Amino acid sequence: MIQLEEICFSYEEEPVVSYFSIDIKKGESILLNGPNGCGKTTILKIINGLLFAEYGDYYFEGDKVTKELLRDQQFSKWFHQQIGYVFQDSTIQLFCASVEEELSFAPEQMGLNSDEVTTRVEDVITLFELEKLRKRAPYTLSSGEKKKVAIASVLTANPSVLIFDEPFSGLDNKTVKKVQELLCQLQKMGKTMIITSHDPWAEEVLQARSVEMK
Amino acid sequence: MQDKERPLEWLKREEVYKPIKDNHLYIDKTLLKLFSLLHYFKEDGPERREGRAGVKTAVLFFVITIVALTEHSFIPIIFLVIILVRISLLSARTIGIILKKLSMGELISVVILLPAYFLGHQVTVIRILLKITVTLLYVNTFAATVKWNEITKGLSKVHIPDLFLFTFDLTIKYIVVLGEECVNMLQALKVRSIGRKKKKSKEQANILGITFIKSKRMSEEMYDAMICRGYSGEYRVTHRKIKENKK
Repeated sequence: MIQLEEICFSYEEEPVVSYFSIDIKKGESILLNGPNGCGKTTILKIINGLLFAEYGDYYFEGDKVTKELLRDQQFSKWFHQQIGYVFQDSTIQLFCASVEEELSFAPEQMGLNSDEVTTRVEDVITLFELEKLRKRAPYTLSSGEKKKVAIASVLTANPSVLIFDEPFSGLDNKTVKKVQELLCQLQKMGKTMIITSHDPWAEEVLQARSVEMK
Repeated sequence: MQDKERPLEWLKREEVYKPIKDNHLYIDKTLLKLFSLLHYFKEDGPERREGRAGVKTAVLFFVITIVALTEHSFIPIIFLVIILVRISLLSARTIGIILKKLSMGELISVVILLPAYFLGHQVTVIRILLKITVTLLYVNTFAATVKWNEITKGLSKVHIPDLFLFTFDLTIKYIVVLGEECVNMLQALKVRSIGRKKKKSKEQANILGITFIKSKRMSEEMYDAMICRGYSGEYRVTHRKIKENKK
């Protein structure tokens, strides 16, 4: 489903990723491991089409993903619907006036009918226990609440790949447990997941394939 | 999470999605502009050098003062020749930035001075335009060749008030910090732009609103941090160079 071949990337001539390759099958869970600054977030951004490798190839569902291909609006929208990315800092991906608007953002763009939009929004509100927060502005929420809203807002687009960049950072134990339960549920639903985390839970409980980056 | 009574059927099935046509180019264009702005303000341009900030600032003030006060045209012409020689030694990209800013300033000046030209004050208009050109070239070359924190040092050496220096310093830093926040939010918006949006202006307004809220929060937290580190209202610019302990 996702193939990265000999990917190289550098920030201002400082190499961050050197000849990184990975082959991710549909429904697989991957844990990207490595010390700070080893390029984990860079790889996630390359997979998500936010950055482009200086050398190497990236294939998504058989298509070679390049800057030129992502200029095609139709492909770009389909691509971004297929890959849901939960940023490490949830604040940056929440920009609507209320939690409800945030959750309905993706399905409304997809042109789904109002019943389907309502179903999806209500389902994730129930799943994440966001009932009391639905009218609140996202920037007023706590970090744990923001993380839940960020994940929920990505889920309503029903992507086939979910990328979580340090999903547990800044969360208390109770919220970490909830997020872990959700990730287990998503794995059972057949979602392909790529996680970066220093927590060994992903490898132990989720049985994620650990990929070490140096 | 609750054990679901509702089955979440839509999450279990594969989404067959055919995107509707819509224009999202504005996000890429905004990102490009922000990237080039951030690149300009970050200090690691090759032409921005450390050292002699005080001398450079004093020269700049001297030139601006002389050019503004003189009634003779040959003085600005001499300074113009000097600065053109200086600019010719810079990279093509830096020259382009300097000239682009110069052209914007000149355009505004020409528009303002045009009526005077037609009213018979051609010589005066040309002299003023010459002075503006020289001043803008010196200021833009200074900005392009001196690191931002060195500019603050240089200004402090010519006894500019501390409050001005503090405001200037923070403005530059926060242009970069908030610019990067905006870039992150725009990238997040880009990856969430998967279809047709009815109110694009609303998203842009939301991002600006959140940036404003963040900047307010950051400024409050920064003030608290400064208090914790002994800030008492006086802003001091460090001129001392810390020697490396080479062992």
